[in-house]
Amino acid sequence: MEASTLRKLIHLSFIVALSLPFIFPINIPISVNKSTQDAYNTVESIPEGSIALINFDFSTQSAPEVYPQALAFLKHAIRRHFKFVITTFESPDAVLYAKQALASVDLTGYKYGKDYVHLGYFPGKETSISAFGRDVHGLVKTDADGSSIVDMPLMQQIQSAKDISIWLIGSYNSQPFITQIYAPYNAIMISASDGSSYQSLYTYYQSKQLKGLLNGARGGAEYEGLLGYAGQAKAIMNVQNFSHVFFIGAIVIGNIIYFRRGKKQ
Amino acid sequence: MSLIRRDLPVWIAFLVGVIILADYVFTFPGLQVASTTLTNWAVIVTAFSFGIGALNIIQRQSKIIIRRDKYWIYSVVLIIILFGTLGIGLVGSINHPYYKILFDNVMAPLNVTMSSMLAFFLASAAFRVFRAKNFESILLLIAAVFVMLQNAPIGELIWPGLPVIGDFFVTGFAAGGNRGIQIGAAIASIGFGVRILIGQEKRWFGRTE
Repeated sequence: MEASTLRKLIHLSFIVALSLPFIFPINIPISVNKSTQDAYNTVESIPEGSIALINFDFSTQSAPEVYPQALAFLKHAIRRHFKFVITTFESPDAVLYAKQALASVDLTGYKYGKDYVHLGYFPGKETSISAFGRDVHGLVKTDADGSSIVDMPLMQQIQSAKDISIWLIGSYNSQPFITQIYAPYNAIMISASDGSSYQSLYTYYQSKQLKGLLNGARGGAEYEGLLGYAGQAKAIMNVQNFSHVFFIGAIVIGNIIYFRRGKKQ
Repeated sequence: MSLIRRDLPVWIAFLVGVIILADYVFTFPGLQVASTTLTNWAVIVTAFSFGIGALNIIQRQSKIIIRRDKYWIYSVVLIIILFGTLGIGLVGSINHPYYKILFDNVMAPLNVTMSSMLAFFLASAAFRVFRAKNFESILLLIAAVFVMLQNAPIGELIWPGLPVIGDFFVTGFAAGGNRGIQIGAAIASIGFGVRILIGQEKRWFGRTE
C-alpha cells in the first residue's frame, strides 16, 4: 500500500474512532486520584465567606483541557460562598474565557464589586504575579471592564497576597505562583494542569507547596464528579477512551506488520 | 559615551537586583516600597513590549508586501486583521460584540484546529514510526501504553492495576526526572543571576563580549 493511501486510511479510521463516543456514549465511572481529592478537600477546609483568587490562564490551544478545570474551581468557590477575584497573568485569551465562565454560572446572591471582581489581564507574567502579591492596588487600578476598583468593597479588603485565603490556579503552569506567592506568603494553593505539565507540577504537590493538583482533563473530570456534575472534562474522557485505545491499537498493529516484514520497513 | 553604553546598564542591573533580593531578606519599609515600585515598573515595561512586537510585525510584513515576496497576500491579511482587531479593541474594549465574534469564530476555532491536527500526526506516527527497534524504544512504548491507559477511564475498566502502573511512570520516573531538571535549572538561574549582578554577563543588553 502506498504511504499516502495508508496515511489517509489511518486519518479516516481516527475520525471514525473519535466519532464513536458521539454515537455510542459510554460513561465509564472515573475513580478519583489522591491529588484531585486533596484539591477538593483543601477547598472544603477553607471557611465559607473567605476570599479566593481564581486564576484563568490558558491559551485557546490548551483551553479544551484547562478551561473545564478552571470552571470547576469557580463553581466550587461559589458553592463554598467564597468571595473571589479572577485574574489572568499569562495569556490574554483567558480573559474572555473567564467572562464566559462567569456568564455560565449561577451568581445568585453575589454582587459585583462586593462579592466578586474580574480584574482581567496583567502583562509581565511572573513579574506581575510578584507585583500583585506585594501590593495589589499598586498594580491594579481598574477591573477587566476598565472600572475603578478603588471603591469596590471586596478590593478594599485585599491589599496583598496575605489577604487571600486560597489560590485556585486554573492554569497549565502554576510554577510562577509557587515561586512568587507560595514561597514568600506560605499561601494555600491548588492547581489545574494539562497532560504535559502534570508531572512537572507533581513535584510541588509532593512537597506540599501545592495542596492539590488536577491531572489534565482527567483531573477535571474527577473534580466535576466530586462536585456532582458532568461537564466538558467528562465529555473529553469519553472521547479519550476511544482515542487512546486507537493509539495503542495503531502501535500494536504497526509493530506486528514491522516484525512480520522482517524489520524492513 | 562608553560609560553610558557599557557601564550604566550593569550598574542599573546591579542596583535593581540588590534591592529586589534584599527585600526578600530584610523588612525595611523603604526597601519594600522601592522593591514594589521597581516590580511595577517591570510590568509597565513588559506592557510596552507588546507595542514593540506589533510594530515589528508591521515592519516585517510591510517589507514582504512591498517586495511582493512569495505568499505576500497572507501578510496583507495579517496586517488587516491586526489593525482591525486593534481598532475594535480600542473603540469598544474586549466587550465589543465584534471583538467577541472575532475571538469566538476566528481565533479560538483556528487555534484549536491547529492543535487538533497534531492528533492526526500522532495517529499516523503511532502506526508508522513507534517501532520496537531496540531496548530503549521498547521501554518507551511500554511506558506510553501504561500512561495512555492511566489517563483514559477505560484502562481502569480493563484491569484496575493499569492506572496504578501508569501513575507510577508519571509520578515516579517522569516527576523524578523533572525534579532533577528543575533543580538543575534553578541552580543555573542563580549562577546566571549572580553573573548579571556582578557585570560578568552582558549579553542581556546586546553586548557579545
